Amino acid sequence: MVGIEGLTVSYRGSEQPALRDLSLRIERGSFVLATGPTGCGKTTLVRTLAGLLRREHLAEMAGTVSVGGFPAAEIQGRPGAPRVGVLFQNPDDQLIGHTCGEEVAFGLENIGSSPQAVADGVSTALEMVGLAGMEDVPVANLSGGRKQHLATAALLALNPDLLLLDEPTSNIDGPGVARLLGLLRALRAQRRTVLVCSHDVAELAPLCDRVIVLNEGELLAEAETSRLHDQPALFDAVGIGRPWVGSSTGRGRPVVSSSYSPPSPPPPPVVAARGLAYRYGRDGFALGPLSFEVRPGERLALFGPNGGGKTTLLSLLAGILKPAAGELGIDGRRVGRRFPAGLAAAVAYVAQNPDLMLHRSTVAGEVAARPRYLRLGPRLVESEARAALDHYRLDALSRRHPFALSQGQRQRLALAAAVAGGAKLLLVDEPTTGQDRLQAGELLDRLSQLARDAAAAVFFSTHNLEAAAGAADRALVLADGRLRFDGPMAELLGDRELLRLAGLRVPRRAAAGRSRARRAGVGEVV
Amino acid sequence: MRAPAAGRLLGARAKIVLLACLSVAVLLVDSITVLAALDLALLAVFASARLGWKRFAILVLFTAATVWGFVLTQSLFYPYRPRTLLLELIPPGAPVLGPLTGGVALYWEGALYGMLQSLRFLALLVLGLTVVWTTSPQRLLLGLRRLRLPYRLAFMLAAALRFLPAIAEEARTVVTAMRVRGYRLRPTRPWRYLAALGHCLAPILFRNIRRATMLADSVESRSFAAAASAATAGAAPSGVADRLVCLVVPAATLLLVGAKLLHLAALSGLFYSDALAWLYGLADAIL
Repeated sequence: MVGIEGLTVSYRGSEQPALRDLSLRIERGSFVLATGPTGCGKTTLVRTLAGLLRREHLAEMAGTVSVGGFPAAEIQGRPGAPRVGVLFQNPDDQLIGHTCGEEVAFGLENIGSSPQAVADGVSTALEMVGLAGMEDVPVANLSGGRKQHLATAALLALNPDLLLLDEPTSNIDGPGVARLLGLLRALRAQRRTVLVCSHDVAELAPLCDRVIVLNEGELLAEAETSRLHDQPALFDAVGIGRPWVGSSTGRGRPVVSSSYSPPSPPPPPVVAARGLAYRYGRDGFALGPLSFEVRPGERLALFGPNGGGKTTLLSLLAGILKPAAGELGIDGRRVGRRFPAGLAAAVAYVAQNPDLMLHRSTVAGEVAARPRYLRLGPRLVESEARAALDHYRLDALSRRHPFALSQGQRQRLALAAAVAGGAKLLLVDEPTTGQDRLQAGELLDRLSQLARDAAAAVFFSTHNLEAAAGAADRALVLADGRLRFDGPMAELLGDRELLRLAGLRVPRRAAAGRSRARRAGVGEVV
Repeated sequence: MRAPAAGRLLGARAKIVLLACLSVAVLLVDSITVLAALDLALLAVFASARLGWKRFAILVLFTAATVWGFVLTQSLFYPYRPRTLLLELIPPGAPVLGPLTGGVALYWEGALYGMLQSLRFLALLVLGLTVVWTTSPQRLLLGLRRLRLPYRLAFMLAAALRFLPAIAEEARTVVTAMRVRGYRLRPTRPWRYLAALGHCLAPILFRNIRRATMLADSVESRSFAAAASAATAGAAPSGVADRLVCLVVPAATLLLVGAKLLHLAALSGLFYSDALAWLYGLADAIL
């Protein structure tokens, strides 16, 4: 189905090729996983196969790529060419319709299907992904996981010959991943040709016939899934998740950090919430009432399914939303309808999309912005900015525009810019989304360092249980706006019912490739 | 059972035709009374579209700003004569400012001209908002295609409308991120709001270039090229009301243009016919 010979792709303005001398074959009806660290060339491979590389962005393209016997660059819109469907990482950026029905109908109308064929195709595709009868539901009302399913339905409606899925699990919670895996199993049973590009080896490898590992644009390894367990060093070498990092007990549970020991007597809380509540509109989502305390130096991981209230809680603590009821004290001051003016100096916040945090024209200006807004005085502004640049290894990039940096560098800059000038409470919304294991680990290490060195309380939300286990001492679980658990990380990991409630999946322990898993063909749903 | 809201009775194509014809018609009408009546009728349509209080408040805000802005600026800077003084703000003989400005006053004729312009603008604003708020981008796309607009252009227009709310939301996030970092926004310092908006530009632009690329890839992979190159536009059939609007409204607009031209020809002495006296009278009254 797919034949790639000596493919090299370089983008304009980039020193390294995105893909280097890649040769690969994908047979019709096979299910292949392409994995590797962030920036290894997975997305470029997807865009090449879909004929979506734009010439104006390319500095060099060499080699041959064919899909179903047609040159890949010519398959879009060419009569008789095989159909290639692409599911991108972020569903919000690929959905164009106002309702679910319109979204799925878009492709069918493009190929000139009759109104009846469009209606039939829409209902069949929605049924395939578990959205039956939701034709008139506005896309904006769907959760992230359901949007991903809708985008998949829009592809399946066109009955593509080749399906390309780019990081399909990165934006969805445990139940969403479980539904997606169910759908992928159905596609596998239909003998569809599928290429999945993902860091999530543990979940996806058991579904695949073959795994290819890319690193810095090169094909590092290619193996039958059943042979994967012989090569754990391969995954460690490129910093992507091995099927599982087991604890010393060997029971398949994440390693829990135990670096935090509360001082005695405990310092006054930096956050004190009593009956804290919030509601969106009259009939909208309601959070709370919640009661909890956070003390300096604590590292808290906030878990919960999509739409469970994690971002709302972080927004309340950051002063972005005002509490509807209850009491909220931050750094000893009560937060009412107005967020106390001086509190910005105590709280640092990094949003889920760090790009929206960056608004200055240089990296140096970005890290100096908070100390300047806090009116720390010219000398202190300069010294704080220098310290942040140095600590987050950004000094060599200080004159660059923030948007000229790589994704990992921008994430680091957003964190540096948020904490420059000091903070007693750091709030980070989904810091691990879309990051490979190395990047996520490095970021969470920095949060831990901040908690340890500056005695700041660090509070982050995530779906990544494995990464959080090593970076948090305490866990909070929010589901349906209610606090379902507040306790030590280790206790959460031992409670399967709680993990299910938190929308978390315990990754499989070295399951990829094992014959038992191959027979079952499923991931473990907790 | 509730009757369907007014804005949803017509298809996208009929709404676009209505909007296009209205934009021509309001230029032809010079009567404040007729324009005011037209605006009231359009407001009634807006109200019956049941778009909610929030959107009604946005419309009221736009209306107040438009009328106030047009009337004030036109009455302040009305240059023609004769003109009737309404209020003298700075007399020409006032020390320093008098000689400097030549005097500043509000004039009745300018206020009337400002009112006329604002009523024209309002008519388009009310109908435009009603169309946009009652038509999904997808239906708008189909409507534009049925009007034979090139598919790529129609898609661009529809996609831009689809993502306007997301862009507004992102601008709010950027400003919020600045406030959390200590940036102070106060009503007493309005320039800081403008500066904050300026700071939004780079992140929003960057985010939307990335989004546009992703969206383009998404639609390309769903046979967009096939539809763009197709000769005919495949769209749902339109109803009787749609067809009626698409026939009657453009015809009425053409008649209006004809009447205006004949009226102008008669006034300037280029052409006059006794048989058209009724038309001249009608044009005098409403145009």
